[in-house]
Amino acid sequence: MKKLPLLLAAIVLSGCSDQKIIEKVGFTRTISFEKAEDAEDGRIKVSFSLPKTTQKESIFYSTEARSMRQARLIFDRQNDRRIVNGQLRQVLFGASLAQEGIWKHFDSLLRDPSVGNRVHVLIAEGDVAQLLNKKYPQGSTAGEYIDNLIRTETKVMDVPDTNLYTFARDYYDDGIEPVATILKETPNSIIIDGIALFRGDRYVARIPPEDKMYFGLLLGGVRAGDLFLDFPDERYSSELSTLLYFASRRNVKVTRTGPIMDGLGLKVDLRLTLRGSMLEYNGDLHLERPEDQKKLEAEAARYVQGKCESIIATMQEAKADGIGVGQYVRNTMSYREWKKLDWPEAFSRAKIDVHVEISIKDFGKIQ
Amino acid sequence: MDIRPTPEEAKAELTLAYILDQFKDCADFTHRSFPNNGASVVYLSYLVGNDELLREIVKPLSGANDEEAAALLECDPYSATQDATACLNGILDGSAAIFFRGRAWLVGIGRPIGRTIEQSETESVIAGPHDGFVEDLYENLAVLRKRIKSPKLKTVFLSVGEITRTTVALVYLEGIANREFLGKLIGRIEGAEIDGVFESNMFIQLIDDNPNSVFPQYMTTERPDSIASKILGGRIAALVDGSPSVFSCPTSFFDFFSSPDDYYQRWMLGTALRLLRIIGFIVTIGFTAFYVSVTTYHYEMIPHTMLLNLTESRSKVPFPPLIEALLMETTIELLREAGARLPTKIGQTIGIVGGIVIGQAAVQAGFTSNILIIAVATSAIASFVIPSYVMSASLRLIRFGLIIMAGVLGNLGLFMGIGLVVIQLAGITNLGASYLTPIAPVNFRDMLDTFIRGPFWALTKRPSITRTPNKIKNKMKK
Amino acid sequence: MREKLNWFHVAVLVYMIEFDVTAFSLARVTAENIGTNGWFALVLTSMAASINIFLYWAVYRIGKGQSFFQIMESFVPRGPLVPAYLGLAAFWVLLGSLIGKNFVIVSQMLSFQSTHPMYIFLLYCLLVYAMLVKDLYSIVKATTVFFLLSFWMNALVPYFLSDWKAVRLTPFLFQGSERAHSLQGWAEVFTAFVGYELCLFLFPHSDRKTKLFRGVLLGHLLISAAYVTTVFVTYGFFSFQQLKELQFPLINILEYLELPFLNRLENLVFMFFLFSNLVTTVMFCFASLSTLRHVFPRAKGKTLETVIVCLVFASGFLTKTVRESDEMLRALYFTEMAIAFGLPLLLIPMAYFANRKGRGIEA
Repeated sequence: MKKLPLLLAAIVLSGCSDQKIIEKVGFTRTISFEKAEDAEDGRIKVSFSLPKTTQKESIFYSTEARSMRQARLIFDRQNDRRIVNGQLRQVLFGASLAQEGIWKHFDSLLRDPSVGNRVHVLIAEGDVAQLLNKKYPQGSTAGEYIDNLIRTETKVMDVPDTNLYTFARDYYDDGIEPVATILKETPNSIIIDGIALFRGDRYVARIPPEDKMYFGLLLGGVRAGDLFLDFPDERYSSELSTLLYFASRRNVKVTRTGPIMDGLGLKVDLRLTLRGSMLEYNGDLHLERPEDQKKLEAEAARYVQGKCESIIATMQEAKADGIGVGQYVRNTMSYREWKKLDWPEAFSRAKIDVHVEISIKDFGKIQ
Repeated sequence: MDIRPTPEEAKAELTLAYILDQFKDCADFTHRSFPNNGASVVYLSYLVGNDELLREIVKPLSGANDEEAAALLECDPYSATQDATACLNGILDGSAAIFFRGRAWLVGIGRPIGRTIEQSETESVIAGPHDGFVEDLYENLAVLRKRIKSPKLKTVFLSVGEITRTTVALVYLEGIANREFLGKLIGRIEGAEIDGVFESNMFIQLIDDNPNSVFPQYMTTERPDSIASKILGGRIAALVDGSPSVFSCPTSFFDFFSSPDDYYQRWMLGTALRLLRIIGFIVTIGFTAFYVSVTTYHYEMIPHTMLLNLTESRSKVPFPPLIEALLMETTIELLREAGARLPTKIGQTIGIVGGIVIGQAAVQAGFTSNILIIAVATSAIASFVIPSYVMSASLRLIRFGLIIMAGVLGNLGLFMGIGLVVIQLAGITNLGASYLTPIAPVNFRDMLDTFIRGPFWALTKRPSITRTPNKIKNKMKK
Repeated sequence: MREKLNWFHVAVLVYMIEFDVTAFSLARVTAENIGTNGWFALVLTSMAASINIFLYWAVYRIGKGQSFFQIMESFVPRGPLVPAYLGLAAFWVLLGSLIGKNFVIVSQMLSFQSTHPMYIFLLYCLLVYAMLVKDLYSIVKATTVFFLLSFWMNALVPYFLSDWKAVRLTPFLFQGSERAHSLQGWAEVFTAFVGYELCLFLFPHSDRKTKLFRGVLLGHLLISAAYVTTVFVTYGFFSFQQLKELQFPLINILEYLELPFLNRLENLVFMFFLFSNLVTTVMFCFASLSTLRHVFPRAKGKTLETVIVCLVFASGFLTKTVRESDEMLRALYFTEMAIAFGLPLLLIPMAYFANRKGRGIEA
């Protein structure tokens, strides 16, 4: 009975200003930031995409503004429903904007309590607004298409799941640099076009899409990846083979061989172990023979090692430690030493060796 | 109105004239004389059975002369009485009073009135005994005696209701039931002052610890097997004459969620049923409220594919979710109430009207969203999972409170509402025993027979809430 | 019949008193004040709190279970003590109130941004009232249910393990704090555990059989374990610098929860904290109520409870912003810590002499 006055009080006093009744608000699915055509006084082009309830279409707004909030105020004036950010799924940054740094815009997303931290952070090449506003034969709206694409791809872990949480976490961490997936528009689809490497909040280098699996290996455990091995020349006895459903493990070992401050005295061993099924093979080896199987394993390992080393070379050149070697280096140092160390510089000069070990579980239904 | 006999009446001399005077203007009152020996017999004609009348009174007395009648009346079942009030009450209970040579005797010749034992309508079972309690107290006592054949099964008769003088029988096992609770309960029952008692669910409200709470505080049931097991557990059962519901105490909140069926199944299945009821409990009080809260304030919690469907179906609805939910909940309650009032045969039409007309048409007319229909229907179904009708009715009332709180303050309001319910529950006692046993005071052994239904080898002790002096109930080894 | 509190319920009560708004920002507070691997600081401060609990145990043993008031008044006449009692009572009301208000302010960050905070706080106060007017035994029963409604949250820990990396913990111990290590910094970490001192008011509700201090210590260890685990997981889930930036790391980590049929679970899980804060407020009010009851033994019915809840509501007007609220709460927590350590140090000698005096009279 004590509840009665309480309920009455609650009804009488309640304000409606905080109500966000679902049919009265417009949910932003995607926000994109890109460079404006003629960037004056720091303006950028901000676009919002809001799905319609029919699920097949979306409302698209685009304007030039100095920040996400300012743009939203403009869109609010046009939209018949109040725009809210709570259902935001992905945020796209134009590649050229990302090269100048994105933290300003990123910060306003992190600050907003209604934005969850599983929002995907993506880099888009070309005209982002056009990418978002286009109809794709895949059916649903661009926002949902991207969402499903990223979900499927990140499940096997070859593309790192880059969301607000991981990006901010790696941005703040001094032993690793953030990465993000790159999207590109093709005439009738959106395609994952590699992985963007950042230094701080700047997009500095790109891992091509063919190599994203190797980057996944270097970053950490791949749960169920597919690896296409296109053996290039006569040094290999096979033409091509594909390793399917493989799982990998990464092991990092840091040794100091000399003065560390310039990075030259630093030796890092990355040990990768892969295990999977070989379900495609063209070449001269007789796979029914155990010694040939071993040979194939060794050749594949050599091939993967070469690929990985070239990725590391790319990263070192860009001084972007996207795989978090720094975190392990940090563990071998004292706090004072680490603080004095300029890690990106040291990383670019460190000697990083990759050791790959591949074991093939089975060769499919035929020997 | 006080109709207890005035001091003069109480002292009134027991004479035939006095009795005739008391029952004047009662058309069903019969006075019969036997000229061969001068005996007079009075009784209420519709309360007595013809066979009994013939056997105990007409046959023996009509052929007997003076001496024979005097000798006869000294034997059982005739009991002499000198007290006018006792004689009056005896006649009201279906006895005949025999007046002979200035003295009076009573003999019970009442016939059972009411239906015979049949299955309970409100608590039906699939597997298990199918008998239910009936309105007649003595019949019910007999049913219990048949189940527990022990001389330790004691009964105390009390009468309540100043006009109706309804009999209440307390049944307990000596040495297992706690005497303190028994004393308290007798005190409560004797202290209840009301003119009439017709039903035990009504009576228990007079002897509650917390009369202003929404929750029922005594467990009532129409199933003898349930009551028998409660008595064995050390509880006290009370039968009210004229009511097929029997209540037992002390009761905890969680007793309302267990059914004797749980023990007739294998223990894992019984446990699954208990868990199902807990889910039913959560759904019934919270699901619609959660819908209101999420659609009004927390849109970000809905997965986006579902959100678009929801928005689509909500977009035609002209009311805010709170009003929408209250409307639909009220409709469901109307349906239920209408179904309960109607005879079973017509009751089925209610299902059709409710299911098709209200469900389908309301959505199509843009009166409500289809997800809400799902929510409301699910909570309604979930409320039927709770075995106790009284408890499920209370929970439905709480549901309305929570819906309003959720409509006003979203999840925060919903949780404040839940908090209030918990605080309420925590304050309730039943005969001084905590309503929340075995959670508070905590008793892990009891939980084995509350949230899950443990295997019988694990249920070795009687529940702690009964404070029984004889704790061990099961000496079986695994 | 006066019900006594079983040790288990005392443990639950202490757990819920210590579990309050500090939990939201605890990881940041340790990162800012202590530095890397700040979770370990919690282990140390928890040990300090255990020592304090030991002091209360000493008061209990030496004083033979006499209540706080009995011990005090065996030395000092009642008259001069009254202002001190009133001061303490007012202080506890204020502390309880600001904990509740802080919760309201934090919850408004997530939703109901434009509703007047005092309106939500009013409802909160009504809950406090509903609970406070019941006897301690009923409060404890409600607390037990609230405990079950909050304790399950610890089971969420495994959910975060897939994104948890030991390497983020860094090998450095207590480095990189915002400020130099100071007593104040450590005290701020300690504020997480404030609340166990209310066991002083449970003395009259326990006897030898109920093992009061087993409960107090167990409850304290339980909440310490829960806090340490939470903060430990947070340290490996976020990077250290990020932790220092996040206002309420716990809410951020909860934001990561997602179920197939429900997203953004922090909106739901956060609400369970309502109960732990409610219990904290109610128990500080209960301490205040016990004191006032002692000062005004003839107060009728529910007057004192009503006065206390009105005061709680009125104190809610003191803070309006997160910053104000944090600052004031910190000051109050520091005072409460001083009281928590000061009281037993004051009471032990008193109890000792009172005991000897008492024995002298008996002999």
